[in-house]
Amino acid sequence: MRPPYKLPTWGSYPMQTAQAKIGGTAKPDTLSLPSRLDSGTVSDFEQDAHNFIQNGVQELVLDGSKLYYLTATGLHAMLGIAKSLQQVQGKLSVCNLQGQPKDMFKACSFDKIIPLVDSEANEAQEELAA
Amino acid sequence: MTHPVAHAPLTILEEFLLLALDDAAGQFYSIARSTLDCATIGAVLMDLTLRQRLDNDLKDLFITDTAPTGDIILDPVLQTMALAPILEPHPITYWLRQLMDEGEALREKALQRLVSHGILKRDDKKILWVFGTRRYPMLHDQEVREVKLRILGVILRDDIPSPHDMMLTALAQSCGLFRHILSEGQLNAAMPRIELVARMDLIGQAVAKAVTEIEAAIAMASGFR
Repeated sequence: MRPPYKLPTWGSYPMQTAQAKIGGTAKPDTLSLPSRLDSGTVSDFEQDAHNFIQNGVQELVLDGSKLYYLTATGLHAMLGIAKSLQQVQGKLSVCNLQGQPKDMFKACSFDKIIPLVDSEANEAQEELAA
Repeated sequence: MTHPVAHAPLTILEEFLLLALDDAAGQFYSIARSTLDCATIGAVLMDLTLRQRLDNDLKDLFITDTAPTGDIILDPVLQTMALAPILEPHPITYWLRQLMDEGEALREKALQRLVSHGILKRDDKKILWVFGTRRYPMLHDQEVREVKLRILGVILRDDIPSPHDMMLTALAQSCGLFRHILSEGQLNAAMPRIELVARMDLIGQAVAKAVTEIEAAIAMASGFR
């Protein structure tokens, strides 16, 4: 059984949703990305993502619907999370990226390592289930 | 025989130099000096990025924190970059060009540190009593074996790379070092994966582009097309 989630520090960092098993089917948990993911916000993001992993989450979807600016530091953080999840046989995917973050993600071929799902989180779930 | 000294984790620059050194000869593989300079600066920019002093997006590289890292190789470069009257962002290629003249000195400092860690030894010799040559034979190959194992895990086993290993892979690919690490068959099989990992970092992409331009210029100057 999954232990209870430790909620991260609230404040300027945006909300996140933690979806537990529903109806006996494991659904990926979703972490909402902040509006900027760069050196100023990356520590909070890493902390939150690692909280999920420490709580036993293996399939995590990053929701980029609010993200409008992404830098290399943000990408490195995502890669670190993906690596941590791989070590526990888990998976990371990203959904709802658009504009500059999507261009950055693709220019660095991150979509070849971390699946990028364009629409809603349930599509990310299908990707992870595949 | 000396023993390796306990030391901080090696930087990207130090690991790159270990990969670029031919163990048998104690000298760098045949790589154009300007290519090595460019890769050296790229490595320093990568190390500063991993220490959250620099960051980059698709357009520019920018300083995010001018606080010293405590690393005697990285801090002078950060200081030089921070000395600009206005911390105006510039593309990565701008900084590669601006700092390339520092490449050899930075490389020498990093090699000295590897000597002080007991990983390499410095061997100065004279040829015909006049021409000096300097070699850096490997004293302990544990570090270089570990680096190679990590990189091979990334390119042969599809491990998700750490940002450090992703950047190191990009530099090694820019300088053609994989042909010294892998057999021809392995290299051909792994090339799509190597190219993918090498594309994952924008500094690595800028170094690769600069190296291609340098090599084209050298070829033109040598009369080859």
